[in-house]
Parts: sequence; C-alpha cells; structure tokens
Amino acid sequence: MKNKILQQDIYLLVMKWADPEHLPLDGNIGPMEWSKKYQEKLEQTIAEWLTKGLVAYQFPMRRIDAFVPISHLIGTSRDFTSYVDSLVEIANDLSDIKDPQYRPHPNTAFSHEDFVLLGECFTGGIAKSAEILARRLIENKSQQEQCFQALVDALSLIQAVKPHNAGSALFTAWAVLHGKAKNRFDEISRKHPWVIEHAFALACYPICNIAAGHGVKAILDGLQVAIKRDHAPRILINDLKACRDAIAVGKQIARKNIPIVPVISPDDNLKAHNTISRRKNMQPIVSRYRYADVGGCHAQ
Amino acid sequence: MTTIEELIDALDATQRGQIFLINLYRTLECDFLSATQVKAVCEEFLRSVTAGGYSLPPTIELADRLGSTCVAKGLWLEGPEPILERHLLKREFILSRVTSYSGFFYSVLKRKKGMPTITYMPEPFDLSIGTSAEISISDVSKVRHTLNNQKWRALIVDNVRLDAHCIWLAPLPKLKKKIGLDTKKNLADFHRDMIGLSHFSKGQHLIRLDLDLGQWFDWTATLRRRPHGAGNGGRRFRLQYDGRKSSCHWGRTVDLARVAAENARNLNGIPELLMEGFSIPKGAVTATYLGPIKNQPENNDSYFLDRLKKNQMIPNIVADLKNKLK
Repeated sequence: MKNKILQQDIYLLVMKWADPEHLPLDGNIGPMEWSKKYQEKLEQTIAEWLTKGLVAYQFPMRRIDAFVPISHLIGTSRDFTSYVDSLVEIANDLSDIKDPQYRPHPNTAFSHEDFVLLGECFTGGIAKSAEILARRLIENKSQQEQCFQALVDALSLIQAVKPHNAGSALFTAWAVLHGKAKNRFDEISRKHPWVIEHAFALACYPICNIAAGHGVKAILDGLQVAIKRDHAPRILINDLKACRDAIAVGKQIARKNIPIVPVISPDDNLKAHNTISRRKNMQPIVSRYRYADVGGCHAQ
Repeated sequence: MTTIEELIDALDATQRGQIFLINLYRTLECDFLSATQVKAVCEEFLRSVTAGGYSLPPTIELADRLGSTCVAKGLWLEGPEPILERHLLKREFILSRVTSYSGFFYSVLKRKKGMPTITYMPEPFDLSIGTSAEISISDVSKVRHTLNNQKWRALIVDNVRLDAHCIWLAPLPKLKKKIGLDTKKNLADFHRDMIGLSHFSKGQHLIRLDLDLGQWFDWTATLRRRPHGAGNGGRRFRLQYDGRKSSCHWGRTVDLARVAAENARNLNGIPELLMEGFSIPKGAVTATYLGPIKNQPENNDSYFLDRLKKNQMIPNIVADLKNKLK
C-alpha cells in the first residue's frame, strides 16, 4: 500500500517552515532578485528544518516526532516505505505546487508568472542540509553517530531528488569533511569504513553527465585516490566506475562536435529560464553551457 | 468534524475494517492498550485526514491507514515483550524475515531508481504497471546465485539496516519444522502462506533473511514486542490464536493455506514477534532465494472473519468498542 501525500500535509509542512521575509522594497531590486532571494531564504529554512528532523530521526525515542506531518507516510506495513523514500515522495508531490506564502514583486507587470515552487525549494533545502550536517558532524562530538547517519540519509536524498544546487552543495560538504578537520573525519570514517564515500559517489552519479562541474569531478578524483590507496568494497568500485563512464559519455558527445550554445545570460536569467522550463516540463539547464539537442543522457 | 463513532461505522462497512475492529477490541479487552491511548490516536488520525474539510479516505483503505498511524504513533510499543527463555534461545536463535525481491533490493541493498546498475542484481520490475514478474526469467539464475552464495553482502558497504518502525520476525527452527523433508514444496508460496503474508501476490519473488542472534551481539538492546490489534498486521492478522494461551507473549501467524481450505481445526501458522528498526552486521544475515510465487493468496475474508469473531456478534463488538472509545 502506498500512501499519497495529502493537501493538508503540504500546508502543515509550509506552516512548519517559518515564512521567510521578503526583501525590503527598494528601487534597485528587480523581480528576479526578489524571487531568487526569497527562494534562497526558504531553502535555508527548509534545510535547517530537515537537518533537525534527520538528526532527530536517528534517536528511536524521538523518531515519532521527527517528521510529524509525514508520519502517515512513513512505512509501517510489512511492505514498508522508509522515511527517506517518504521524503522523496514529498519532494515529488511538491514539485508543481506554488508557495502560498510568497508575495509577487509589487512592481512586476507579470505577477501571475512570479511565483516560487515549493518542490524546487524543498530539494534545494535537502542539498543545503547536507552542507549543514557535514559541519555538524565535524563540530558536534556528542551527536556524532546521529549526525553521521543523518548525513548519509541526506546524501541518499540528494541522489533521489537531484536538486538544482546538488553540485555546489556536495562539493561544499566534501570540502568541509576533507578540509582542516580531515583528521576528525578520518576518525569517524574508521568506525564506518567507506559509508560516506559510497554515499557521495551515489549522490554524484545523477549529475555526472555533461553538466558535471568541477566540484563533482573533484569529489570523484578524491574517491578515486581513496579506493586506490585502500581496499575498497566492490560496490563502491562499481558505482564509481559508473560515474566515470557517465562523465566519459558527456566528453564523447562534446568531441563529436555537437555545437555548444553558450548561454549569454547571467545567472539570474539562467535561473528564470529553468523555472519556466520546469513549468513547461522541459529539461532545465544546470550549467552555463548547454548542448544543442544531445538527446538522452546516460545518467538520467 | 468526523467523530470516532463515525470512523468506527466507516470501518464496520467492510470486512477488512471489521477484522481491524475485532482485533482492536480484543487488544483493549486484554489490557495491552488503554482506551485513552487508542482514542488519542484516532482523534489525531481524524484531525489529520479531515483537515481542510476533506472526507474520510475510502473505506477499503481506511483500516490500513489507521493501522499505519497507530504504528507510527508508537502504539505497537505498548504490547508485552516476548520471552526468549534460555531453553528457547538455544532453539530459536535465528529469526527470519520474508521479503519480496523489491523489498530486498530497495530496503536491504538500499538501491534506488536512478542508481548505477548492478549486473547480477537487476532492478525489479514494477508489478503495478502490469508486468507479470519482478525479475525476468533470464536473470533468475544469477539472482539465485548471488543470494544463496551470500555474494549480495559485497553490495552493502556497512551493516544491514532495516529502518521501518517495526519489523515482523518468526523463528527459523519453527519454520523449518513446518517445511519438513518435503523437497517438492513450492517454497515461495509455502512461506507466504505459513507466515500469513497476504499482501504478496503472484509474480513476486520471495527471499528469506535469517538473522543469527549468535552473531548479532547487541540484539538484546533492540526492543521486541508482541504484535497486537493496533498494529498494521494486514487482513490476516489475529490477536488471539487457536488453542491454549501461551505465556511467552509471542503472536501466531495465520496459515493462509488453512484459510483457503476452510476446514482446518486451527488456523495457526508459526510464532511471530515485532522488533524495532535495527542495524545488524551483514555477516549475521543469511539470505535464501525462495523463488517466485505461483498462486494468488486466498481471498476468503468472510471465512476468516467468521473464525475470528468466534461466538461473538460483530454488532455487539462494534457497540462495545464505541462505548469504550466514547
């Protein structure tokens, strides 16, 4: 049996996320920046809410309250759905729903087209929660085990929902773990060998196509070095190879002289294009360059 | 605002709902739960499903939805703890869980749609879109080989983690005793029937996971409970089984084959218990491929209901339950 998210759950979720304040109206702020800033704030709010929930879920006695609005979705029957899958279902169900709390830019001439999609913010929040959890894992020693598991779950969610900001969020989280506090991370990693590495490889896989940025490539290079140094499990080698293959497919397409159309517009316009393309069910552009008519990609 | 009385009436409208109500009633009668606890969960359930003016979910799925809520709200934790006595521990040191290939792929291996493929463990087909089997015939032998030779363990980086609220388990020695020496048995159908897994249907491939308590050193820290009527036991759950009451607080599964035959003196399958979600070393888990299910599960609700209610009348049970939850 599969429970569907109900309309009232959506409103309960929205109520849980504090209403992010809109920018003060200023002559210099255009509609694009207005909605972009709002979206960023909402993603941050959701990320903090999710972080709390993901950590709380690792404590059995707090599990029931961790995600109150979705408790009916969390698997309880024999043919169960895990809570990670429940969150994925929520992300899917929210994809076309406009944020009821968003107020369009007062001066926009096209206010009916000025809205923020909850699904996009939810998935963006998932990606940001991985960044927060990586920091907490390094800093919070008392809840290390819970933060570790929560980070694995957040990475698993990123794999499933493919957020628009996955590449940058993954790289930030990776950099936090392998930066100044690398010794701390190594210590944690010894207790659960290869778990985080595997979760990173899987989270990177959906974006290992032509749009893979330097961040993703850096993570994969780091993983490649790690598996050469130590004896890595077979499944990690298998999944990492799949990532490499996906990138190779992208390169191959590029070598076949498929024209690259540079996107002249700045990031704001790119974002706007993606919002419109999502509404029209088109493939969004996730980098500054796009390939004309390359068809399906291995990773998708 | 829908009342608990109306909720009970809606459940009373289907045989599946009546099965749920009888089990819930007997759970209260046995003092496994208090009426206040059940009432609070029912009220919360009603609040959440009817918020914003929505009507109750369709009666056919109402029992499952309420059962899920009861489990999610922790009512399953209120049952007594099954006793694994010293002499039983020796005999019942392996607990088994039977799952489908999809369940294994998504919940044990933790693979998801859109992940890289694994050649010897293909992604299962979705039966809900009209496919006849979860695995294609050409893949069966490599799946069997990977599972029975325990090569699936190499596909998991860490421990096996089952993260549902509660996991249903049965002792392997009892199961093996029932299987006996008959090697011609269709093992998938047999396991499905013996454990009362009425939600598994034709086309699904079953896998048995045997958890060795001898190798799982901290299993005693995991909560164990007797299944009761405010759980989500499905349409063949029964709080009180046939025969004398046991003092060890285990439940008993319903043998679906006996329900189908309609002439058995007792419908008891084997003992069963609930365990909270856990993480177990993969070396302590042995998988056995049981094969595809060849027949649909029995659908004899009226006979099961008749055996379930025993000498009591359903209207009386319903009236008494309404009174308790007033």
